[in-house]
Amino acid sequence: MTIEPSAPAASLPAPETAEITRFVFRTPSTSGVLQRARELLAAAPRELSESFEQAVRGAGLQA
Amino acid sequence: MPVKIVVTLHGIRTHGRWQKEVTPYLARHGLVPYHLDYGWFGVLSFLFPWTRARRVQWLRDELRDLADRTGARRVSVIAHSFGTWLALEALEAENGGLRYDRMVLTGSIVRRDFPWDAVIRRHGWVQAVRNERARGDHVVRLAAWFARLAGPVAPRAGASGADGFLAPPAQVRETLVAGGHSEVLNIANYDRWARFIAYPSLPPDHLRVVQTLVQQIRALAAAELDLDPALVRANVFVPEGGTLRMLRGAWDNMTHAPEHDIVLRFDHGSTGRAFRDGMPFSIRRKARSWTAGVLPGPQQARLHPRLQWVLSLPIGRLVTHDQVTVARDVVGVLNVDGLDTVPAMLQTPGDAALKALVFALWATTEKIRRSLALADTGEPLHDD
Repeated sequence: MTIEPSAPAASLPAPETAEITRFVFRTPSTSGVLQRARELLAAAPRELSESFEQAVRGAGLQA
Repeated sequence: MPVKIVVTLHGIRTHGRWQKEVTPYLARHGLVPYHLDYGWFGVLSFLFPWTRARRVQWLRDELRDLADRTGARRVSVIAHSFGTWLALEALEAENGGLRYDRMVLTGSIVRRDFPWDAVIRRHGWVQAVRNERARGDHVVRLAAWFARLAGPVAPRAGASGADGFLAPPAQVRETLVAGGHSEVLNIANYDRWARFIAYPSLPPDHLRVVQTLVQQIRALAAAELDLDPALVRANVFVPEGGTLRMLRGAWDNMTHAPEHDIVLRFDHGSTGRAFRDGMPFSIRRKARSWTAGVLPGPQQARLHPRLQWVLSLPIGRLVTHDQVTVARDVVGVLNVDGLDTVPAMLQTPGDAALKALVFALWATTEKIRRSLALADTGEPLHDD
């Protein structure tokens, strides 16, 4: 999975773009994001990693 | 916190013993019951339009009086049989003068093509409905049959208590019960009705799950952003009455009490945008005050004065659409935020480590989503 650089929301009026950022996650080509996310969840409580894997499976984002 | 009033309405040929039986279940969830009794109403009275109209007017008067005396802008309703018809005839007759919060319909004789989409989504006259129906309910089929045969004097009735509503919006939840017209009044389901009406107040089983995950997500964010955990907080906003409000108890380290009552529109700040668009947003303070337009003044005044940044994660079913991962059926927003300083990582939004962290935190909200979605229907926690 690749993820585009997080981009300022284009539709937002100018004074707000300085503060607000929208995170856009693009598929399907692979990148390190899923792997990195799993790595940082490796030491996290089991509930978090289970929740993460359920969401990833539901979204069809198997690495 | 304002209390929720629950009006109960019985059906024909009964005084509604179930209304008294449901009381302790409502009380357990902090709800205030208000039982209405229009006396014994026979089948013959149901057949005549003028006797039905008198009962509709009576209910409109009762509900207006209740609103005047309590100040309640909306009441919830539990109704059975003819009571379901009365409740919705009164609602339509008031044409916006009366609004319900959540409704539990049992043995409903409301017409199957009732315009829920307009009533809920366009007008906002009702927030959500739980339609407790039974395929073996022959009484509601009889009412539908009469409505078809009796022509202009017939009530606008139908077999929604047996066959459900036609093309209802997502806010109308159909629940199938085994049995017939009396079995829908099953004491085993009273706790579910109370939970449904009490939402977004969470019962203990769901609150425990959500609290635990919120605490863990906050701790993970603090560690990965290399911040003092005491300066990182987390909270959940859920939709209520066309606005977003903080879910009581589903927070961690939220010690600034005015924030608990913040009311957001769906285009307010990072929280509103995350809810509206189904994508994560972050917002960071760049000046002494937040940029005008992010939040209206009265809501900004409630913010913790040391708040510097917010990461808003929509709580919804993650799907991939047009090669972009988005949250669908969004039930709320998890905010992780911080005081005093903006972490270095948040100041470089393209940073790969930040993107991985945001995605990890976002996806770990899945179990919160499941709990909120279940709680929203009145169902207790199920084991996976």
